[in-house]
Amino acid sequence: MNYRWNWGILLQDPYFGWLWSGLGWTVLIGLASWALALLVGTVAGIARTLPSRLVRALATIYVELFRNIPPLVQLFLWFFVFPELLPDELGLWVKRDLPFPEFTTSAVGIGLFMGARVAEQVSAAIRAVSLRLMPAALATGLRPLQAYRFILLPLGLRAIIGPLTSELLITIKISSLALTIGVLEITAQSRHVENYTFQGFEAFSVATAVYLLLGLAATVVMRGIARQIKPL
Amino acid sequence: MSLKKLLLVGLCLGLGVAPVRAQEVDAVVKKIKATNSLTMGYRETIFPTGFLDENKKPAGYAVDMCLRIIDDVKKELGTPDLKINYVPVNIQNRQALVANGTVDLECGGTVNTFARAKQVDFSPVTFIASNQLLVLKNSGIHSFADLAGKILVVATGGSSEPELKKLLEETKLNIRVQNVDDHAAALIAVESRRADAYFSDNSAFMGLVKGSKHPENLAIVGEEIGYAPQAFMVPKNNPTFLWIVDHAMAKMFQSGEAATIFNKWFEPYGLTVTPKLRAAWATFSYPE
Repeated sequence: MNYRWNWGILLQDPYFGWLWSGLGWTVLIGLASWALALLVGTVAGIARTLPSRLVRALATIYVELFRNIPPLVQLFLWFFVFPELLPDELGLWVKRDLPFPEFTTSAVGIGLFMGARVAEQVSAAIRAVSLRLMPAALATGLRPLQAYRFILLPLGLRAIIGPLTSELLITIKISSLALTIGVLEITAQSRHVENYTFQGFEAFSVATAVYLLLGLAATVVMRGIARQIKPL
Repeated sequence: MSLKKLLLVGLCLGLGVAPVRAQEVDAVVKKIKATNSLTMGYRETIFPTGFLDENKKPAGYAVDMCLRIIDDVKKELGTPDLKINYVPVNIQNRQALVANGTVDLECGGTVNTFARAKQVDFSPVTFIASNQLLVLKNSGIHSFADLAGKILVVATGGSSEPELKKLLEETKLNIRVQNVDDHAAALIAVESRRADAYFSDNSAFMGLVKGSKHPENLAIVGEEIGYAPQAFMVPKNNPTFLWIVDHAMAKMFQSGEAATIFNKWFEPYGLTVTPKLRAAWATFSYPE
């Protein structure tokens, strides 16, 4: 192969700055969509275990819709189609005046996709502990709401920290989808460097290392959390 | 599995990417003679430079030019029944495919820059693009100065981006710049009024306008900015092959054949050989 390696390119201006800012956006998208995924996922996951049929049905529709449509398609739908369905003025506002439109759209899109996956974990966790503990909690005089708050959620969520770590890792990795709607995160910036210098292998090696290190860091953090709260 | 082990594996993978052996000279000529075939890279969607025609065959200005170059290759290397393998390339993989020897001759419109020329060699200039604005006709934008306070999209990584940066520093106009991934996304942004204008090289606009559902709503406006000389790519370290390419193209420039091919493809888009391009061609027309 006729390739001239030049690892020094990675430290040169402006390429270093590009990769650095790409790392920043990757972390930001990862965190923002993970926060949204946890919030929506927990709410939808609880909703799937409630007695009300209507609430359960709504939560099920959300989960099945969002986890069965490819995330890339969802991102395109949010970015290209959703604003066109709104009234003209509002659509234009979403397209032009939404703060950081590409970033916001990708965080919401990825967050809602991951939320559906988190919801499945949460509802499975609640079902697993509520089989025995719900009757027991009610028997001790707790109201259903209190049973959720003091018994089912603390125990259930502890049990799924392992699977949730995997979900977090997926969130970090699919943040790269944001490049398709113009966010210059780490994968996009690697392509950027490749396009300018034709030194693609070096740039993509950095992106690979970044995902690996972010993933390992997330794993360490989640393990720390798991150790702190000690499963019963 | 311990984290330490994981880190170790990662480190080994990183070190495994060892520096590449020195490439032997004239690998392309040796390959052509050994396999009696040549691999040509072509673009699938750049009208009229390189695209797939109704029969899904590569066609266009660059393809025609390259076929003439390949005629010369046959003569020079004494391989009259040389087989051509067509490989589609895109902006992301074109350089890698040339560098790793998959593609012997990339026939698209890659802008020649000194940074890129460290990795590949370039043929003489085939097209000179410059940057302009693609807007909606009723947008009221006629020049770059009209963009103050407006939203402008630019493709990430193309050669237009650095031009735009320079221009913004010079003019100090208050313009909101957004990145898009490719030409298609830029067209959607302009047509859906997400952005007011698309800053790109005008050779891309021809295909974009043609592909649009409402070409009558679009306009190409503004002064021509920058110098983007496009050329074909060949792998480095192939002096004999590069000489054949240079020689074949110089002959076409001198005989007027290059201009004929250019006008055949670009005249329907209202473009004939520009004075700048004619001057560039004259520079490459060394005597026999």
